[in-house]
Amino acid sequence: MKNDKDHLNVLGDSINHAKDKLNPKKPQKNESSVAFRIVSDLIAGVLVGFLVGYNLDGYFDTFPTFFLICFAMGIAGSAMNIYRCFANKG
Amino acid sequence: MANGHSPLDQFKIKYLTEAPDVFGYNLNFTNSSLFMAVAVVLICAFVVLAMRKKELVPGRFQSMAEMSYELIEDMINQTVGPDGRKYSSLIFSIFMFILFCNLLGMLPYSFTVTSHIAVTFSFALFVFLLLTVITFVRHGTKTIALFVPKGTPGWLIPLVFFVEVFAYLARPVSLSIRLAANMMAGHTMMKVIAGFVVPLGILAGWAPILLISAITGFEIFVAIIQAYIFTLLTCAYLNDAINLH
Repeated sequence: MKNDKDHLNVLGDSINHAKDKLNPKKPQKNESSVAFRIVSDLIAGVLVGFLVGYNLDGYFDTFPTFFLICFAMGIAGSAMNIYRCFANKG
Repeated sequence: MANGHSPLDQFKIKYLTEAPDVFGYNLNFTNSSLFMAVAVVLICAFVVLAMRKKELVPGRFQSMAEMSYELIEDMINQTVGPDGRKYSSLIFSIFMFILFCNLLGMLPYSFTVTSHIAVTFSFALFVFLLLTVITFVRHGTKTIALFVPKGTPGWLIPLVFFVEVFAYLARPVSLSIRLAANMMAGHTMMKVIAGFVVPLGILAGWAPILLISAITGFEIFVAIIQAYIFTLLTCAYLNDAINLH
């Protein structure tokens, strides 16, 4: 029984090996989904910066100090996310 | 445009029950809830029925169920590593639910649950909060390393920290916007093009029909790819939570 299992394992390994040879793993790039990803990252960062800043200002009554700071940070944050999106694809 | 023919009419929430408000909350059962329930039932039926026989040489349905499981398993192994395997049931549930909701939305007269940002954002927020808790539980005070990349010069640390915090907070928002916008855009486009058929008459009306057939195929592809991307990014964030970059 154990022998059978070994045989199966060997067979499985060689099948996997052959499969890898047939289709080497290349990162599947889908241009439209990348574009959508970047757009949503861009919107999200700005939106979060705006919301956080605006609400902090409402809380401390300091408009537009936090709004401007957080807005800039949000834009930087979305730039960071977009950069990562490309860097990971590398 | 006549009432009921707007391309955005398909996204309207309709109440199917008339329950009274409970503590000021509207707890009516809506068409959205109905399709979520249908998706859950279909997923359970699909997985349970497909795996009922458990044959060594899988049949059609069994291999579909196995393939979807292996897809998630491979994804977790590649992006997170062995530590992520205990979260595979969570990731699998998220993938299947979004996939089924997206695909159910492709049926005529159905409702696309994932086209509503309320649904996708609750999803993304749930994932985000869960991963934040996992990060804190696993790493405690070392979590701060997530917000200060290695090799940051000392004087830049405060700035980079806040930028990273905003980048982190933007994650659930971008996850949810992406899914909802993709589903909504596709479905609206289909309805708009379908609206051209009758005005163009019997001669030219065929052109939009051909276009819709092509777009329907593309939309099914988008439905699958968006479920995949949502899951893939969840895995990427899980990797951050477990391995801190």
